[in-house]
Amino acid sequence: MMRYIKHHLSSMDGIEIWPLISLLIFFSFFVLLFVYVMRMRKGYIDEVSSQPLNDSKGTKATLLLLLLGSAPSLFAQEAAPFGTHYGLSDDVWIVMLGSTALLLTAMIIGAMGIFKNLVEHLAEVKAKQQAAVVASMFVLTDSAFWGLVTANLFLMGYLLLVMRNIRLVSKELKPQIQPEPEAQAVAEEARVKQPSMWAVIWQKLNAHESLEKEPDLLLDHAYDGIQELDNRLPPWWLYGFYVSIVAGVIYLFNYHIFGYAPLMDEAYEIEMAEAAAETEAYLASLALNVDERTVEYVLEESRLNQGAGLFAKHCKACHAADGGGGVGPNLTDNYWLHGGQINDLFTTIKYGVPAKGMKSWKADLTPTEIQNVSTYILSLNGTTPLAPKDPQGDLEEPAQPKGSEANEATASL
Amino acid sequence: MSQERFQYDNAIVKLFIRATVIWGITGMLVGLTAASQLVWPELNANLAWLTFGRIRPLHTNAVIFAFVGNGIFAGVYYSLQRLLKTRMWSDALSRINFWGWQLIILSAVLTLPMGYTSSKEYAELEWPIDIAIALVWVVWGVNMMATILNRRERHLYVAVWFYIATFVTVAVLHIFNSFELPVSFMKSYSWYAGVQDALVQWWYGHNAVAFFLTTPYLGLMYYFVPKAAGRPVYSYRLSIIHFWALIFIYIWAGPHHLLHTSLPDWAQSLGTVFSIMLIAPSWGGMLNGLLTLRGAWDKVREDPILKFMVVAISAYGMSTFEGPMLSLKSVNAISHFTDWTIAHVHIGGLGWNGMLTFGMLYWLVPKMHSTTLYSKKAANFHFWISTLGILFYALPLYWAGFTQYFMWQEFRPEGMLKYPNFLDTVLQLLPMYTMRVVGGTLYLTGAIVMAWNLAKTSRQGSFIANEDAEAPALETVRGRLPGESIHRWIERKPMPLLVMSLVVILIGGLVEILPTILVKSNIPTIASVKPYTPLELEGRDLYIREGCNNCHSQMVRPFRHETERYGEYSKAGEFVYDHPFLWGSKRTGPDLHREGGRMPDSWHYHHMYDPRSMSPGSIMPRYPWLLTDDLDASNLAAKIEAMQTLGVPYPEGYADGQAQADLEAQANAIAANLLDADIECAPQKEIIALIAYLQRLGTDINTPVAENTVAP
Repeated sequence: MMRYIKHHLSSMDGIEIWPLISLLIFFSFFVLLFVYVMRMRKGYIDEVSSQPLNDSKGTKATLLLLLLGSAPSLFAQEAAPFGTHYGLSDDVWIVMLGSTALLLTAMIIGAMGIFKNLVEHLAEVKAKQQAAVVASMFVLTDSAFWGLVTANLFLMGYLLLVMRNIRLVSKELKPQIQPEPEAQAVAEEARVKQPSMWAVIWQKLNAHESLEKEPDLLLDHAYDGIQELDNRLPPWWLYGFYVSIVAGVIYLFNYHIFGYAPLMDEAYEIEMAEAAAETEAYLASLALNVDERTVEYVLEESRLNQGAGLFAKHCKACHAADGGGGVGPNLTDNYWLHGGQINDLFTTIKYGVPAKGMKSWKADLTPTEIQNVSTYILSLNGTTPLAPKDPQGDLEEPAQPKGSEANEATASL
Repeated sequence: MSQERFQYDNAIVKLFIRATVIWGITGMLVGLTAASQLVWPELNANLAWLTFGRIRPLHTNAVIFAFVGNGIFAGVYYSLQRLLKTRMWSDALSRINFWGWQLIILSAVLTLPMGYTSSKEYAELEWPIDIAIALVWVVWGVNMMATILNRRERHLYVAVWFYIATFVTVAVLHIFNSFELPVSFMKSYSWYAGVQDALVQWWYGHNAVAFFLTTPYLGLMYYFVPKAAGRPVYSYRLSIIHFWALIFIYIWAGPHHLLHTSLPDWAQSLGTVFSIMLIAPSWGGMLNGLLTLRGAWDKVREDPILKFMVVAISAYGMSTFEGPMLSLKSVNAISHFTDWTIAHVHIGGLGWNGMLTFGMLYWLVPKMHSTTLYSKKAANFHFWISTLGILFYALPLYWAGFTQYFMWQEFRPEGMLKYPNFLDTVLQLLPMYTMRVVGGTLYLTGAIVMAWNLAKTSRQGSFIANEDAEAPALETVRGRLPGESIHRWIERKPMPLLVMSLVVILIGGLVEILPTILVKSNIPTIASVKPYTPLELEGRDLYIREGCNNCHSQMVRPFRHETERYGEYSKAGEFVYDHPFLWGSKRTGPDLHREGGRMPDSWHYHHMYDPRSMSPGSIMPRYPWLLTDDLDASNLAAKIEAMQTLGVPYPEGYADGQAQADLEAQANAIAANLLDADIECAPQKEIIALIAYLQRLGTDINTPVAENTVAP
C-alpha cells in the first residue's frame, strides 16, 4: 500500500517551496510555543484525571510468554469493564482514536497532493510567461518528501510533548492563588462530576486506577522506602507493542519472503534505469546533445559568459583564473598537450586525462556547458596571463571561430 | 529479629560526583571546541592534537565514559547500598574502581589527541587501555555482585536488575569488540576485517548506547524519580515486561547503523525490524517514569529536580521513537551520514543523560551534606538555559541534515548532479553550525552554574562520609515459596538473574554475527582485491591516526546520486583486508572510497598542506606536519606479520626486508611524480604514505583482471 501511495506521489518536482513552508510552519510553531509559555501566568493545569474502574490483578507470567513469542491473546490481561463515560467501551475508544489518527494522516497526504497540483499549475502559468525557470535549491523526490513528512510530524510531536511538560513545570513561575475553601470544594466537585473529554481519553488510554484507589494497588514491599503499584499495562502501550511486532514481521516478509520490496542492489538497478530513461527523454526533447564530433567553435556572448563562469568555478584552481596555468598547463599559448581545436578541448574536458590529473567532467557539466567552457578557453588564446606557465605540448595554429558575425562579437568584447 | 548496624559509604559517592561534574564540563568544552572548528577551521591553531579528527573522539569518549560513566557509578554506589541495606562489599574495590576509572579517562585525554586510536567509534582507545577498562569494569561488577550477595533485602528492586544487565552486557560488548592484535605498545589491528568488523563494531556501538547510556540510567531513574517525587513506582509489571523485552530486543538492532552498506541484506533487515519492535519496550521505561509522577505534578511545578527529570524522560521517549524511525530504510537513506544523526544523539545525550544526571546531582548533594540546595533560583536558571540549549543545538542540525541530503541527491534534468562539488553542500550548512555552537554554549553555561551551585551547597552543609543505618539480617530461604511467582523468585536469586540476562542478550548478537563471520557467501570475494602495499598500509595508519574517518566515509551506497558523485558502489569483497574497517558514520567531507586516481598526487599534496588552496571555503583542517614529519616505519615488519596472522596473504617471509624495499620503491615513485609537478618532497615524509593510500582507495575493482568471482 505504501508503494501505491509513494507511486501516487512519485513526482514531487516543482514543489521547491515546500521545505521553506515546512520550515516556516515549524519555526512559527516554535515561536508560538514560547509566546504561549511566557503568557502562561494563569494557565489551567489539567491534572491527570482518573476514573474509578475495576481492579484487575493480571497475570505476571507474561514475561516468559513474551520471550517465547507466544500469541498476543496470552498477553492480554483480564479485561476490566471500564466506567461508562459517554457510554463507550475502551475498545471502541481505541478504535476511534486510531481511526482519527489515520484520518489525520490521510488528510495531510491529501493536502499535500492538492498543494502539489496548485504549485504545478502556478509553475505552468509562469513558464508560459517567461522561458527561464527560476532555479531552485531544492527539488523533492518522493523519499525526500516522506523524510520531511516524517521529520516534521515527529518534531511537532516532540514539541507538543515538551510544551506539555513546560506548561506543567512553568506553573511555579507564578504565585498560586488559593481559592476559598468553599469555592474549592465546589470546583472539586464539579471536576469530579464532569471530567474533560481529554481527561477521559487519557484515562481510557492508560487504564489508570484513580489516585484514591491507589492504596489497594500498593504491593507489599518497599525498597529504601520506594513502593511499587500494580497498575495494568497501559493498553495503548501493550497493543502498540503487538502492532510493532506484527509490523516488523510484515516488513521482513515484504523484503525477504514475498519480495514485494526490492533489496538494495535491485532497487539501485531500478533507480538507475528510471533515471536513464528520464534523462534520455529530456535530452531528446532539448536537442542540445552536442558531442566531440559535432561541436563547433562559435563565438557568442552568451556562450562566452557561461563559459567564463564555469571556468572560474571549476578550472581556475589548476589553470589559474586567467588561464595562465598552475597545476595544469597554460591555456593561453599555442602549445597544446592534447590538441587545440574545439573538438580536442571538448574531448579532454569530457573524458579527462586521469593519468595526468585532469579529471573527467562529464558527470559535472552538460554537453552544452562543455562546449561553452571550451569556447571560452579558446577565446583566451593570445591573451597575456599574470604568471604564464612554460609551454607544454605541441605548437598548433590557433583555432578560428566560425562565421564573420561571431568575429564581430569578439571584437566588441 | 535482631537489628544489625552498619554504615553506608558516602565518601565514594562524593568522589564520583566530583568526577562527574569535572569531566562533564571538560567533555562539553571539548565538544564545543570541535563544533566551533566546523565553522572556524583555523581554531585548531594548526596543532595536530587539536584537530577535529582527534578531539571528536575525545569529546565522545569524555561525555560517554567520563561524564555519564562517573554519573552511573555515583548513582549506583549511592542507590545500591540503600536498596540492599548494606555497605558496599569492599571499600578497597570501590576505590580501585574510582581511581582506575579516572586513570583510564586521563589516559584517554592524553592518548586520543596524540593520535593513538583504533578508529572504532566509542572504542577508540588502544589495547592497553582496553585491558584496563575490562579490569576496572570487572572490579565494579565483582564489588556489586558481592554486595548483592551480602544484602539485607530479600528481593532485588528493578533498578538493580538494570545494574546487573548493564554490568554483564557491557563486559561482553567491550571484550568482543576489542579483539585486536597488538603490533606495538599503543598500536593494534582489529581481529575482524571489513564487513565483519563493521557488524561487530556497530553491535557494540549501538549497544553502548543501550547498555551504557540507557539501561544504567533507567536504573537510576527507577531510584531517583520515585525518591525525588515521593511517589510509588507506577507499575511493577510494566517494569518486568519492559526490562526483559528491552534487553532482549536492543541487542539485535545494531545493523541499523549499516543500512544500505555492504552488509548482507538479511542482517540489515533484522536491524530494522528489531528497531521497530524496540519502541514499546523503550517507552515502557518512559511511561513508568512519567506516570510515577501522577499525582505529583504540583511538585514538578515547584521542584527544579523533578523538572530536570521530566525533560530527561521526555527526551528519552523522543529519541527512542526517533531511533526506530531512522532505522527504516527509506528514512535512513536520508539521515545517514548527515547531521540528522548528530541531532538525534544529542537529544539523547544532552536531554536524557545530561538532564537526568543534573536532576540526580541536585537531589544527591544536599542530601549527602544534610542541607538544602544553595540556590534554587540558579537551579531553575540551569534548567531553562539547558532546555533552550538543547533546542538550539538540535533544531539547526535537523535542518542541516535535511538540507544537505536534498542537495546531495538533486539532479539536473540533463542527468547530472546539481551540486557535483561536495563543498557546495557543506558551505550551505555553516549558519546552522553556528547556531549549534550557540546551543552548546548555552548548555555548557548551565553546567558551569550547576558546578558552582553544588560547590556552594556542599560548603554550607556538613558531609556525612559514613551514614548510619540498621536493618535485620536476612534469613536464608531455600527453594520456591508457596504461591511465589517465577519472577518474584528470580528477583531474590542474583546469580540466576545475571545468567539469564546474559543468555537473553547473547541471542541477538549470536544470530547476527556468527553467520556473517562463518558463512562465506555473505561476503562474496573479488579476485582483483589485493592486500595493501607496505607504504599504503603505513598511509592507512596515518589516516587512522589523524582520525580522517570522523569526517570521511568509505562506503558508497547503492543510490544513483552516490554512484554519480563517487563511482561504483562499495562491495563487501573490497574490504576483506581492512583491519579495522573505515566506513565512517558521518560525511562532513565527501566519501573517499573511490578516491584513488581521482586527483593527481600534487593535488593531495597541496590539499593536505592547505585545503583552502584547492577547495576555497573548505572547513577541513590543515595538516602541514604531514609534509615535514618523517614516516615512522620502524614497526613495518611487525605490522606485516600481524596482518599475516590475521589472514592477509602477504608472501611468506615478506616482512624480512622485501616489505621495506617495496615501501621505499613506491615512496620514490610518488616523490618523483610530485617532482614532475614542481614539488620537492623527500620520499620518507608522511605525506607520501598518505598519498599512496588515498590513491589506492577503491581502485582494486577497476584493475583489468577484475573478474568478480563469487566464492562457492
